[in-house]
Amino acid sequence: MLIIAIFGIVLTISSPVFFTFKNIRSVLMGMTYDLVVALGMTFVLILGGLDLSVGSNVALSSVLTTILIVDTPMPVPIAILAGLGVSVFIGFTNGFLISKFKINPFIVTLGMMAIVRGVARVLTSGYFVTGLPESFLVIGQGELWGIPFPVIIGILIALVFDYLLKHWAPLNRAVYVGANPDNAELFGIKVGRLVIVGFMLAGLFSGLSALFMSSRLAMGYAQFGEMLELRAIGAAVIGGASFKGGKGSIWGTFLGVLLLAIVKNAFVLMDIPIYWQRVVNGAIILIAIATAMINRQKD
Amino acid sequence: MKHIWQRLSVLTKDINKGIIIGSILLFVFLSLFVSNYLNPYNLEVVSMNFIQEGIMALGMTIVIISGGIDLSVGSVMGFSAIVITLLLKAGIGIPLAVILTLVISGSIGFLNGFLINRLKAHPFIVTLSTMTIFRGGTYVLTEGGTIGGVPLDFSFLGQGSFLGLRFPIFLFLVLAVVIGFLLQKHKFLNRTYLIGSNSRAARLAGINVEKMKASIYILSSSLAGVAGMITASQYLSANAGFGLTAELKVITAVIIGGASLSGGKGCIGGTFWGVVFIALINSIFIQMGLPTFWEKIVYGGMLVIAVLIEKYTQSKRTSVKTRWEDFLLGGGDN
Repeated sequence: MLIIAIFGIVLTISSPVFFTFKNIRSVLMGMTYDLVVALGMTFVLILGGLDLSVGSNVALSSVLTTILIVDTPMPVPIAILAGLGVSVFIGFTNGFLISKFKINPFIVTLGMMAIVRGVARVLTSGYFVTGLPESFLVIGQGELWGIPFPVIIGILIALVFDYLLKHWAPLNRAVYVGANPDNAELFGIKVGRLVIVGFMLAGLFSGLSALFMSSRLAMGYAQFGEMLELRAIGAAVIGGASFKGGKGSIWGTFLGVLLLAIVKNAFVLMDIPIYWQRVVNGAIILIAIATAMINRQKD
Repeated sequence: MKHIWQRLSVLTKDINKGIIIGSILLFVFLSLFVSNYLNPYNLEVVSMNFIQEGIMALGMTIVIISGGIDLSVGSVMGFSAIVITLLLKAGIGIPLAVILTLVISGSIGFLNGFLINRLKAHPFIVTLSTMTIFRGGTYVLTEGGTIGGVPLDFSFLGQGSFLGLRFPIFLFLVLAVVIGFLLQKHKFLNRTYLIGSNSRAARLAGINVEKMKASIYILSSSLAGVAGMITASQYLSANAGFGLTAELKVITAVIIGGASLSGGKGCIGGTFWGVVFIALINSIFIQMGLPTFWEKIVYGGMLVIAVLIEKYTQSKRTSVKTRWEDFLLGGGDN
C-alpha cells in the first residue's frame, strides 16, 4: 500500500500527465485485464496450485469468440458463451489432470500453456481476427459516466468474489485445503473437487479477460495474454499470496495489480524503452518472493 | 567389445525403453517414405536442428534428477548468444570471450541456485522469474532486433567439422558421455539421485544439499551458455528471440527419456533418446511442410502425455498412495 502511494506521488511530481483523468482511465482499463485473471490466480494459489496456462487461455478464448462471430452466423451472446465455455473447459482439464492423476500443477499447466497457445495460432495462422459487429464491441468500448464497462464489471466481480471467498463456505474452504490438504480431506473436504473448481474458475476469469480484451481492442489475436500468467502470479504474490498455499486475499491482489499497472504507466510516461518491462516484471516477482520470505522469518 | 557395452550400460539406468523403440520406428518410417532421407547431409541437418536443445537437455537431466527444474535455459541461451556477440564485437579475442560468456551464464545458474536455497522458493518460480528477466535482457541489449559483427574465425564452434562430424554434434556426444559417466560413477554428481529422492536423508547423510543444488544449476546454465555460443557461431549474429520456448522442448526430451519430475530418477542415455525422438518429430514437421504453429501443440501434448504415462506406470508398480501434500504444496524439502 505504502509502495503504491509513494509511486503515485513520485509519478505525479515527475509527470504532469499522470494525474489527468485520461491517463488514470487508461491505467484502470489496462489493469482490468490483469485484475480479472489475477482473481482466479489468487484462488488457485490459495489452494496450493498454480496456473501457467491463463495467458494462453485468454488468447484462445479471444480467437474462438471472434472467429465464431465473424465467420459463422452465430449470434453474439452464444459466441461469447462458447468462448467462456472453452476457457472453463481448459480450466477443467487442468484441474482434472492435476487432481485425478495427482500431477504437479506446474507441469500440467506448462504443457497446457503450450498446447492452448498453439491451437490459438493454428486457428488464426498468426493473423488478427477483425470485422466485429458493434453489438460485440459495446462490451469493451461502452462507458458509464466516462468509465469503461470492463473497469466497472471487473471491480464488481472483485468485490463479489472477495465476499464469496470470505463468507461462502464452499469457496472459503480453499484456505484449509491450501494450508494442509491432507488434513482438509480428513475433515471431509473434497479436495479433488475443489481443485477442479478452482482451475475452472481460473479458466472462467481468463475467458472474461479475453472478452474484455477482444471487444475493447476490436479484434481476436493469438498473441493476447502473453506473459499475463506471470503478471497475475506476481500481482497475487505481491498481494500476500504464497506458493505454499493457504494464503492470499483479493484486496491484496487488487493492490498488486494496481502496483504493476502504475509501474507500467511509469515506463510509458518516462519514455523508458518497452523492453525493460520484461526485466522489471521478472524482478518484481523475485522481490515479492523475497518479501514473503522475510515476513515468514519474522513470524 | 562386450566390456565396452557393459560399461556403457550405466548410462541407461532409468531409461524409458519405449522411447528407443519409438525413435527407431520413426526413423524407419521416415527413411522409407521420404526420399533421400538417409542422405548424410540430411541426417546432419536433422541432428543440427536440435543440437542446442540436446546440450541443454544434459544439464536439465541432472536438475530434474535433483528434484528441481530450470525454466531459464532458453533465455540464458539467447542471452549468452548476445553476450558473446557483443564481446567479440568489442574485439577482446575469442578465447577470452568464450571464457567470459561461460562465467556469465554460469553466474545466472549460481543466481538460480542461490535464490532457490535462500528464498526456499520452488525452483519453478525462481527460474520462471530469471527466465523473464534474462529474456527481457535479450530484448534490452538488442533493442528487439538482431546484432551482427561476429568475426568469421568464430564460426568453427557452430559450423566446423571435427573427426568427420559437425563440431556441435561431436561436442554433444562428448559432453553426453562425460556427464553420463560422472553422474553414475563420480561420487559428487551421483549424490544428485539421493538429493532428488530424499533430500532430508541426503542432508542427514552429511551431504551439503545447498552446495550441490547450486552446482547443478550452474552446470545447467553453463551448458545453456554453450548452446548460446553455438547459435551465435552458426548465425554469426545474435537475435533477441534465440532460444525462445527452448525450455519446453528440453524438458519434454528429458521427461520422455524416462526422468521423473518428482526427482531421483533419470539418466543421460534416456535423455539422449528423448532428444533423438524430438528431433525426428521435428523433422516430420519439416518433411510434411506443417506450419510451425503446430509445434507448440505437439511438444506441450507430448509433455503432458509423458507425465501421465509415468504416473500410470508408477501407480501400477507401487501401491503407495500419493498424498496431496506431495504435489499441491509445490514439493521440495522446505
